[in-house]
Parts: sequence; C-alpha cells; structure tokens
Amino acid sequence: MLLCTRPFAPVAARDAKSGGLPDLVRLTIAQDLATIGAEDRRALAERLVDDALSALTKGKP
Amino acid sequence: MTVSSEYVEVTDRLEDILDLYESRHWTDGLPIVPPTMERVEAMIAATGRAGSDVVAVLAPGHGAATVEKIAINAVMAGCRPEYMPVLVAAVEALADPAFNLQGVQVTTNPVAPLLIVNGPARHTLGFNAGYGCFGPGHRANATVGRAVRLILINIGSAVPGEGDMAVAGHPGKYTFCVAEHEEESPWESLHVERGQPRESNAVTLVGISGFMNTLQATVEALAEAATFSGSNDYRFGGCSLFALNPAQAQRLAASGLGKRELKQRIYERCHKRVRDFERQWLEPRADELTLDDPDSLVPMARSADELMVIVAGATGAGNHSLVLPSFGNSRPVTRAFTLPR
Repeated sequence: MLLCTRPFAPVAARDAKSGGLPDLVRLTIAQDLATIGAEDRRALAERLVDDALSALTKGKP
Repeated sequence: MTVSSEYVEVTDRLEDILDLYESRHWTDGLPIVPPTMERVEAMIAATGRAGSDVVAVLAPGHGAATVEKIAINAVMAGCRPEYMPVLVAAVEALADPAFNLQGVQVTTNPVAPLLIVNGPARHTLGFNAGYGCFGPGHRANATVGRAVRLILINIGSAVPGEGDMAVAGHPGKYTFCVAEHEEESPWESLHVERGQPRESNAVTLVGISGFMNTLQATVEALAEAATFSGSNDYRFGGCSLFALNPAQAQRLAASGLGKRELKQRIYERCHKRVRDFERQWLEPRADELTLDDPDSLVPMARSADELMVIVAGATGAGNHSLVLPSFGNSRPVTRAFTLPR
C-alpha cells in the first residue's frame, strides 16, 4: 500500500456560510452575460449559477 | 514527518492511483505523479519554509494555498523541487487583487494565466525561451505551468463546469508558461520594465484569452491582428501581449522604435468606435468612454503602456510573431523570486 496526499483545499467555510462565495460567483457570471441578449441571459445565468454553486458548496471527497 | 495533509491509502499499482485521483476530480485529466509523503516533503524542503505557511487564498473556493498544498500539486504536475520558488511566486501573483483571480477563474471567457519567466533562473532551471517556447519539450515550462493549473483546480476550486465556467476553455489551461528570450531582445526585458532589477528573477502572470500567429511584424500587422471587435480587450481596456521573435524585434528596433514607441504606435492603430459594439458590452468602461457618441473612439487598452511586449522564440528565424489577446478584466502581476545558493 502507498500513502498519497490529498491535493485539494476545502472551500472556506466562512464564505460558504455567509453567502459571500455564492454572491461572488453570481456577480462574475452576471458580468459575463452582459454580452449576450437579455432574453437568453436570465435562463443561462440561472443555469450557470446553479451549476457553479451546487458544485462549490458540496465540497470534495 | 513534515506533511500534515490528509492522505489516501491506495495500492502501489500506478493505474489504481491514477483512477482514484481522476475519479475525485483532483487532476487536469492527464496522468499525475503520485504525491507520496516523501516526494511532497522534498518539494516543501526546497522552499526553506514550513509546509503550513499560507502563501495565498485562491478564489473562487477561497482555499488556503499553503506551501504544502502547493507542493502536493507540484509533485502531481511533475515538477522538480527546485522549481518551487517560481511556483510560490506565481501563486502570490495569482492572489494579487489586480489580477482579479475571481474573474479569471469563474468567467465564461476562455482565459488562462500565462506565466512569463525572466532572469538568470531561466538558465538554471531550464526554462525554454527559444524554439517552440510556447510548446512542448521542456520540463520546466511544462510542469510549472501545469502545476499552476492543478493549484487553480484543487485549491481554487476551478473545476470545469463548477468553479470554472468557461464555455469552451483554452488549451493553455493545461499548461501555459514561457521564458523571455532576454539575450536576443533589443529592449529592456519585461521584468525590468515592470520595476525589477535586471539581474533578479521574476515571474509575470497575465490573463490570456487567445493565441494568433502573424507572419509579418510591422506595426500595422501587429495592430491588425489584435483589432477584432469580439476582443475582451475592448470591453474592459486590456493588456494584449505581443510576443515578437528575435529577428522581427531587432528589425523593429533597427528602424528606430524603442519598446515604448512600438507600444504607442500599435495602440494608436487599434482604436475602434462606439458604434462597432453593442452598448452593453462597453458598460464596464463607462467612466472613460463617451458611450452616447457612436463616433467616439474605443481604445483596446486604457493606455499604450498597458500593452505588453516580450521577445520569445528561436534566434535567426525571420518570421512568425504572436499576438495574444488578454482577458481584459485582469491586470498583469509580477513577483520576484530567489533560488537557494
């Protein structure tokens, strides 16, 4: 058997709890999506934000 | 034992280790070097620092990039221990607020941080500035660039489709590291231009969104290659990078152009007009542009000084220079580093 170290650092708990992290992700994606049409923007933004936040808050094994 | 990270027990069969790391999304998709305790310890020792030292906190996950976590990812990328000072300096640069790592990591734009290495460490550590310097073949370029990506994934939480929302991504997200060919440059090198002593070592990080070759490197040809209305550089006022091959740089210098004059001439030829864009695209620059006037000029950078010029590539090859559009919403950051005597 071999012992191998884990490379990841957990998402900082204080940000996840305070909502600071989701807000930052949401804001960044919203800035990006200012470049596409308004009608498409809302649906795409919602999907991107949902994907990002669910992944970031679930953590890693 | 100096390593404090949690570990996983796996069989010593390489295939099992690779499967485990891949299944946990701890890799970039390529095989890794298993980060055993011994290898990580050697990597930490090369820094002369404690493994628990926090070098930076990396967005968007805000994970703590300790010396030890950087070391683990460096082992996985295939780095030699002596590359660690470059890597630690690069991580410090990533976290500088001017770099806007949050934006670089989360954006739908295909931006990747490019590392540009300057100073005598290029030779000591074997960074390539000549033939194919943006391509394969040199361990220092390949593994330091790859380690930065693994750090962004594992410490910054930039897993594609999760913390990294780039629509299509960028091949430079596997590895993106080059050295400047200082010996062939007719001008002062990038790190000196950015305030570092000539004999110092430094790494500069810049957020790059594209990669284009131009056969000609006249001012007009360089400007033309950078001037497209879909460029993020117009949206934010960016810092496009011009990587000139030695012969073409020397030809421009022989015509009387210093680096500053070259950047000014390119800048003057890269203006577009407000009417060339949807208004909402230019909103981030509302403070400096006259958005109500369709004939008003839109420069691709906030000033000529913000354009970047380096010399890179093979000596004596007369053609082929590169134009690399930037992410725009990020400023280059330079950090000095020293190697142990």
